[in-house]
Amino acid sequence: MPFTSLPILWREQKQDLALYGVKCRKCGAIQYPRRRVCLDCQSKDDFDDVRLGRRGKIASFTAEYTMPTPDLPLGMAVVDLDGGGRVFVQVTDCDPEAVKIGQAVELVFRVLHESKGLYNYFWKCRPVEEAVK
Amino acid sequence: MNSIRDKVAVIGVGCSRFGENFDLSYEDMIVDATYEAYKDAGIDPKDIQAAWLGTVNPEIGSLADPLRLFDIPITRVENYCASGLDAFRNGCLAVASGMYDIALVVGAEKMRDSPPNDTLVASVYHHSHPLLNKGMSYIGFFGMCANVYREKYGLSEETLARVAVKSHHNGALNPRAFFQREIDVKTVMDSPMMAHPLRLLHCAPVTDGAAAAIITRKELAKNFRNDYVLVKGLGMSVSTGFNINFNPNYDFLTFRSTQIAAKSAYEQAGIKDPRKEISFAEVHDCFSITEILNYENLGFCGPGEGKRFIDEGVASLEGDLPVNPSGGLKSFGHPIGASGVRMIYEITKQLQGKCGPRQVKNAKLGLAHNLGGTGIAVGVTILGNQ
Repeated sequence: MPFTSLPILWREQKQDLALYGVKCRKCGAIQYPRRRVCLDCQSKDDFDDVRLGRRGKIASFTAEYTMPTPDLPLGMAVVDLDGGGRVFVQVTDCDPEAVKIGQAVELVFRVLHESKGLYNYFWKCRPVEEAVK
Repeated sequence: MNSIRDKVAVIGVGCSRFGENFDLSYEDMIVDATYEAYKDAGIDPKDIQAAWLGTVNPEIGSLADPLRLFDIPITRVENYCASGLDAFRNGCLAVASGMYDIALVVGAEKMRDSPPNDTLVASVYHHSHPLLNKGMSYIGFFGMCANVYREKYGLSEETLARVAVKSHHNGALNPRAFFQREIDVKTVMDSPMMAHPLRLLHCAPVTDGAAAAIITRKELAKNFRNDYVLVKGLGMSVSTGFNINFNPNYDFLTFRSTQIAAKSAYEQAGIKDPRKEISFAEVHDCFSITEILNYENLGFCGPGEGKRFIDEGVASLEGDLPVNPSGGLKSFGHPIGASGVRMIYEITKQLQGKCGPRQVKNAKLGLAHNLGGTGIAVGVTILGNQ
C-alpha cells in the first residue's frame, strides 16, 4: 500500500488538488511543486500563486514494466504546460508506448491510489485527440 | 579554493565478492573487503585512526560492529548512489587536514535479502510522497533521457545494446565480477522491456557487495609500499533535487552535477583536455544510456557524440580511452554505497598494473564517476600513479 498522510494532503491541497504553482516576482519563473526559494534566482518568499495550465506538450515519456501496480505498462510523462511550469504525471486513456515527444496532452483529475481509507486524487495526462472521441 | 592534488595516497584496497550473496551478510562483506585492504596495505586494524562508511540503507549500516573497530571516529555518509565516492572524498579531506595519519573508507550495501523488485523501485513507489512522482523509478527516469536522446540525436537500438556488450566483455575478464560472460547485441535487443526504451540487459543488476580503501598522507605512503596511488582531484556537486522531472530547465541530456564535479576535479588535477589526458575511467553505468550521457557530461566528447564513442570502439578495452575496464556496474551490479569505493579499487589496481587480461595500456590517470539518484549528486575522483 503506498504511503499517504492526511497532514500532507491537507497542507498541500492547493498545490496538489487545484494544481497551483508559484511565479517568482523577481525573475518570473513558474515552478511546481511549490518551494519557498526560487529555482532560478534564489529569492525567498517572493512569489504569486499561479494556477497551472491544463494542457501542454510531452517533454519526454516512458512506459514502466517494473512498477508494483496491476495495470502494466504504467505510462509516465513529463509535460511542459501551456503558460509555463512542468509536471511529471502518469499517462492514461491510451497506449503509453504510442505517445510521442511534443505530443499535445491534457491533464485529467483521477484517483491515483487508495490507502489508509483515503482516496488519493491527483492529475494524469492523456492525448488531446482521445478527449474528442 | 585549494586543491587536494598529491596530498593523499591510497596504500591498500579490498573488494568483496559482488553478486547474489545469499550466503554472506552485510557484515561478512565488510570484513572481506576491509581485511583484504589491511593486508594489501600491510597494516594492522589498530593502525586505523578514523573511518568512513558509504551506505544508503538506514537500518543496518555499521562499520564498528562487524570490524570490532571501536573507540575511533566513524562517520556514515549517505549521498544517494554517490555515497561511496563521497565517503572517499570525506576521508581524503580529513587525512589531508593532518588530523589522522591512516584512515579507512568502506562502501557497502545489502540489496538481495529482499527480492530485486521489492527493493528500490517498490520502496520509492510505496514510501515517497503520496502523489508527486508516483510511478517514478530510476530506470523510467533514464528511459525518458534515452527517448530525448533518440529524438534529438538519433540512437539505434544496436548502439545502445553495444554499451552492455562492451561491459560484459570486460566483466568476462574480471574474476570479481558478478556477470563473467559475454553477451551479443541480439541478446540485449531480445531481452524484456523494463521501461521504454530500456530493456533488462541495459540495466545494472541488483547485487550485494562491499569495497574498502586505506588512505594516508603522501609523505607517509612510502613507509607502506612503493606503488602507492595518489589522489589528484576530488569533485562533488549536488545540482538538483529529487524533483528534477518538474524542473523546466532540465533537458534530459545534461547532468550539471557531473559537469561541475568533473570541472572541479580536472582543475585540481591540472587536466586541460580530459579526452587526451585521462588514461581510463570507471563511470556510473547504471543503465546503458547513462554511460553514453556520462561520456558527454564528463567532457570526453561533445553533446550527441557519445554514441560514436561506442560505435568507434574508443571506450573499449583496446580503445583510446577505455571506460569501465572492470565491467562496470553492468557486470558488478550496483550495491548502492559500495560502487564508488569499488571504482577506487579498480583504478588503484589498474594504476598498479595488476589487472591481468583486462589491464589497460599506459595507465597514468584514472577517473571514477559516481552518479547519485536522478543525477542529483555526483562525485568525480581522479587518481594517478606518481
